[in-house]
Amino acid sequence: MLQKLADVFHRQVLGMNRRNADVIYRNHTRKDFTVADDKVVTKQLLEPAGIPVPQTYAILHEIRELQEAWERIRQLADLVIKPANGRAGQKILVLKRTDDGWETPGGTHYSAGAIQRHIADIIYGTHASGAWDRAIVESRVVAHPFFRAIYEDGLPDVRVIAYEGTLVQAMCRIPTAASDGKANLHQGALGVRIDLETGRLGQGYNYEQYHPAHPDSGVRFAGRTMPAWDAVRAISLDVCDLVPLDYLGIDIVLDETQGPLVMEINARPGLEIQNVNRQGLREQLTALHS
Amino acid sequence: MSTSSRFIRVLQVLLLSVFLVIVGYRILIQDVGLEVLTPEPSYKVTLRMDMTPAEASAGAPMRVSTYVPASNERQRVAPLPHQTGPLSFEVTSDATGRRAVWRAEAAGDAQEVSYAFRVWPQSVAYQLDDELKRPAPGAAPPALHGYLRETPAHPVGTAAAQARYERIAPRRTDRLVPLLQALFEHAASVSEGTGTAAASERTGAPDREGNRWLVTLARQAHIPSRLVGGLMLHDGQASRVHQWAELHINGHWVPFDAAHGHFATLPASYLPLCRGATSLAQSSAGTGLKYTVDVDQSWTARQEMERATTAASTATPGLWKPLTDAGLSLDLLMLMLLLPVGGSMVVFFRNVVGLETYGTFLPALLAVACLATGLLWGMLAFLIVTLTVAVLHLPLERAGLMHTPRLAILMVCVIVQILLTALSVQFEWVDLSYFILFPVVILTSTAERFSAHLTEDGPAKAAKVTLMTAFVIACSYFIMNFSVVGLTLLAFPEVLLLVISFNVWLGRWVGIRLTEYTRFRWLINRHQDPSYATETR
Repeated sequence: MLQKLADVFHRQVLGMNRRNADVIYRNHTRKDFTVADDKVVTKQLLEPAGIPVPQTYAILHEIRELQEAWERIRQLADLVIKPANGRAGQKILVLKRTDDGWETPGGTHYSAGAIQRHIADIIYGTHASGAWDRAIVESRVVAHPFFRAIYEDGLPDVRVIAYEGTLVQAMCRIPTAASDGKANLHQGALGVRIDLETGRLGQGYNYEQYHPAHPDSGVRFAGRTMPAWDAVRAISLDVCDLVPLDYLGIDIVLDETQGPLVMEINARPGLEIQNVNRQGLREQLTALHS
Repeated sequence: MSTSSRFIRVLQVLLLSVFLVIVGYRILIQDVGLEVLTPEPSYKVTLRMDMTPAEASAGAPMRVSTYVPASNERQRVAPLPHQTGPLSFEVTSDATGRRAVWRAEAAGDAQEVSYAFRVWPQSVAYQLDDELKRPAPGAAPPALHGYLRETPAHPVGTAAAQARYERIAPRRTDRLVPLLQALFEHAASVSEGTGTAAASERTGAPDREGNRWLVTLARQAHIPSRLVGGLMLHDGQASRVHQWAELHINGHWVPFDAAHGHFATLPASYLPLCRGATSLAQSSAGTGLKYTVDVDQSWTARQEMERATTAASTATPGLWKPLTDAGLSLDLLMLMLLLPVGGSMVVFFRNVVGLETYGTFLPALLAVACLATGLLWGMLAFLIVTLTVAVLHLPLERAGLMHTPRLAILMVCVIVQILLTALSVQFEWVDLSYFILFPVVILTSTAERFSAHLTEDGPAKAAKVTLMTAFVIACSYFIMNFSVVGLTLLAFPEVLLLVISFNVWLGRWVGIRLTEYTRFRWLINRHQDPSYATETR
């Protein structure tokens, strides 16, 4: 009865309750979610199927593998180290070779010992309240000039929401000074609407207001069309075919040379994209069913 | 309608009907009365004695005593820890009552001792049969002869007493009740005539005069009678020392207080302590004594509750008796039963209102901890913990320590911080093991959750979640602290079926959370703002 009363006010928005009860956990077993929750499993599913992902250099399950793997890792000019089960960009280390060691994009120097400690931390699960984890070492993605022209720092990505094999909404997340280079809306990144059909950017939303231009660089993005949009769509649809989940968020980055690469899959994508697109997910999901 | 909806409907109907059947059976067949839920006053009483030995008596043995109550059919008394200082302590009994006695071999400095107890008194009212006859001289059994004698306080048999009795006792009737009424009215007039209300408030002495005469005149009429000394309990420090009368009628000691118009009745606030015209606290010669009474009143139906739930003799079989026999206190039992109610509150606030909290049941646990310590101290402890964690978080993270060892360090700091606070504030906690250990366990797990929030979401979000958690704790506390809720659960634990039913409903409710109305305000107002669509398409 209360439900009907609430529906009188609006029936567009997908709320947290309905997302959890009717959209995410319906018809799925816990095993289905590991494909999205564990980046190692995700890669193992996508890579053989020919879906482009960042090149994997090493996956470390145990500390004793570190010594052997290090011989390969130390040869790399650019690399990213991240946990298989990290949340919200935790423990992701982006490195570039310098004359006397390595350096993050922010300019922090890393010695060989510091990198090995970071890998050990990941395996010991310091980010995951003590649960053991695995460290992934992979190629570093360089942001496409299209995005670098909008804002220099960080790595923007594209989030596509798919439901039952259909793409529903998309946005790109552009880092800001407030987000400190991170493409995470909660941390202050700008969510920018992408028109699903054309790949044209709309306005950007940062929880406070809508911007047609980047708040830090002043570069106007509304109206520009994303490069390789058709490839992003095609990859997203391929991912839907592979992954046994009805509802998922696909995170894709646009590399300077390699084009779109799938970074991760999210089984519980946030609801903020509705604000970015000013489009309720509930009415879209309902329409797909009828 | 899907099969799962039908299943839910059947489940809800089942839960409600099982609940109604059990409650119906217990009320109609087992005759569990709803009066078990009516709160009654209980008093936490602290009798405090400040002794100041005179210079001259230094080195001499010192002794101080006070009358203390015992449980009987009218009142249930639970002793609380007393304070003896360096003195020896014992409880003795004699014809006048039970006495707590403190002794020192040699009087030294000023001492403060106290005796504390919780009492659940009941009011008493006797129905005096109109057919009762005045007792004949010598009719009283030998054991009661002492209560007919002349004493310094009761000049029975003297010419003055005789004359007064002759003047007021009704003639031409041999019935008891009219005689008692006449004596009572006279005693009441004596009380009224012997001083202003203000004077009697302070000393309590003048209004004893009426009851003293009531006893004297009753003895004159061959009714065994005595004075009873005790307290008129009032919240705070307003309690008064008082004396009233007891007349032995038809095998019962029936109370009368002519000073306040209680005829064969005694209000619940009267606490008898001793028999006879003695003072409530005494000290050895040469020791100055200051006697104060602190009373803390609260409303509980505990006595009725215990009678209904633990005593096998009543109509209800003792529901919790096996558990209480095994040493589980009803207090603890009630907290356990309250926990699901607090948990449901948290679920409501999370899923319907849309507040974020640390964990799901942590706020409920914290609210239960607050029930033990009081909301103020519980909230203070919660704040101290979050502040401690907030201050230590950054340096510990900078130091590059791993999550789990960091938590262990935080736990040490949180416990030290709580103990320091407890020491500096000097809580009057009755049982430290109960009051400190329980919340500390919960608070350290709060520290863990808060630390995780700081790491994952940053300080601004963590602070916001802290405030929302505090709010939910307070709301759960108020619901759980509402004594009817706890008592209802103790008397009718089948209410937990309703708690399940409520959560089944919450579990199926997929509406927009209240906070999401604000979060998606852009969207909900979308159709009133056509500019957006034209600009981007």
